[in-house]
Amino acid sequence: MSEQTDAELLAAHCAGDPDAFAEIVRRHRDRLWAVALRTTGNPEEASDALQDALISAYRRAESFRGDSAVTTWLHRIVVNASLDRLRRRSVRTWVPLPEEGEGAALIDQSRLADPRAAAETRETVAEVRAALDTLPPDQRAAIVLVDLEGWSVEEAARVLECPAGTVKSRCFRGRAKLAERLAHLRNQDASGSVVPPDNDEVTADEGGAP
Amino acid sequence: MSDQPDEEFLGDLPRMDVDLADWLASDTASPMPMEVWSKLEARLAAEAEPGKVVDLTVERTRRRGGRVLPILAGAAGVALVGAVVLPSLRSPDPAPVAGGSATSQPVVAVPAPEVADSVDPTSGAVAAATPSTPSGAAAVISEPVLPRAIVSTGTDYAADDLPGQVVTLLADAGMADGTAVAAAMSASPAPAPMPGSGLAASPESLAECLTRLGLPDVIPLVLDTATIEGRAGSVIVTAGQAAPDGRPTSLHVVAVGQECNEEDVLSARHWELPLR
Repeated sequence: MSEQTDAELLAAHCAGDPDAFAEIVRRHRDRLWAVALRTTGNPEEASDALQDALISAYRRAESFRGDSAVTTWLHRIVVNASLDRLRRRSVRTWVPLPEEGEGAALIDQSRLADPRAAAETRETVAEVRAALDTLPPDQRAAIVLVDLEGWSVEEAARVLECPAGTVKSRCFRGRAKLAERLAHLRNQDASGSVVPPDNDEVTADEGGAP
Repeated sequence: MSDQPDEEFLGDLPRMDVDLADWLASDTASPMPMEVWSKLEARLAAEAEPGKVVDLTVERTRRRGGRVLPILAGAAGVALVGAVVLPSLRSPDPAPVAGGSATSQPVVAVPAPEVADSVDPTSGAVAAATPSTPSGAAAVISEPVLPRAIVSTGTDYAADDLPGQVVTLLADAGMADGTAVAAAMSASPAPAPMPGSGLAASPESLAECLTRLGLPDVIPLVLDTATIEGRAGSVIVTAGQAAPDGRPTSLHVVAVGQECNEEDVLSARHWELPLR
């Protein structure tokens, strides 16, 4: 079964193969999960959105026309299910980043060897997620696909079912908001502490700099 | 936050600010957690092999008929309604699940007499005879037993989606298969006090409800305060049939209204679902 393409597996699923659809999902589960998690911003919502989406895809697989890749089609359903949840949610909150150990899966493992670097990374990730959470759903989905998941604008446009120019516009505006909301991170010193720009001189004086 | 309408962005998307790119890159993707995959796999398996879902509602409702009032009256008075339930299901204490015979054992409660002969025999559901309730006799409120899990998932249960929804509910509660269900039945119940309102307010209210539903003496595995086809209510899952080794092979699922009052009981839905 693993030799079959996604399209062949989907055809097999439509023909009654009970394992074919799960195999497709197994192949792409991590990417689908990442998109759902980053779009909803909440592991429980991501899990629910993913289930809703994939059960829906399972049931209406015959409607797949083959004019895009199976993965594009699956991502489209997952993104739509995630956005539906995002839009329905009145209060959006990120689950706090787990502490060390549990959070290791979220963080670049190589940085964990250095506790300070790991702490910095966790803080940055938390800041990024909080900033991302403030974006309107459409901008957020575009940023997730293009800037976080590495899809091309054209691929993202197919997933989001909108013109490429719209994806670019959403990314552009979303990036501008993120840059504004994360601007304070530019002022972190080497120790990871945030140094407000206004205090630069005072800090220098206290440090005995000329 | 201003969210201007989308406009076509002509030309290339500019390169991302270097700092922003670094910050976004710090949020590396994590693989799908195993528990999420397990749940998803179980849902897909339930879709692939939904098994035989037996809707017991119509038969139960028809048979309940005039009996519901005496049963309700029994909530106040006390008399015994026989129920065929193996000891492992009666007792909240850890105890080995009964087994023994080469055939499927009637582990699930088919508690009220109107149920005992109402189950489709082809489903493998309980066929054991239960003593009749003397005319006018009241039902006993079974000993309050805490459910193994009390949740409020926000799920809107629907008959068509029930197998998958119950699979998910049980998987979330750590009872993904018959072995896990058997273990849960022997485990300590959810800690008191019960955290919810309505049926989830107290063990007594749940026990009364189960008695009204014709399910005294069962160990409720999971109580989910949810909606059923858009209406507020609760879904109660108990063990169903068991294999000779005592491992449950089916589940009995009841969807009942919020208050579990007479009207709710009359409109309650009952299903028997296969369990892996």
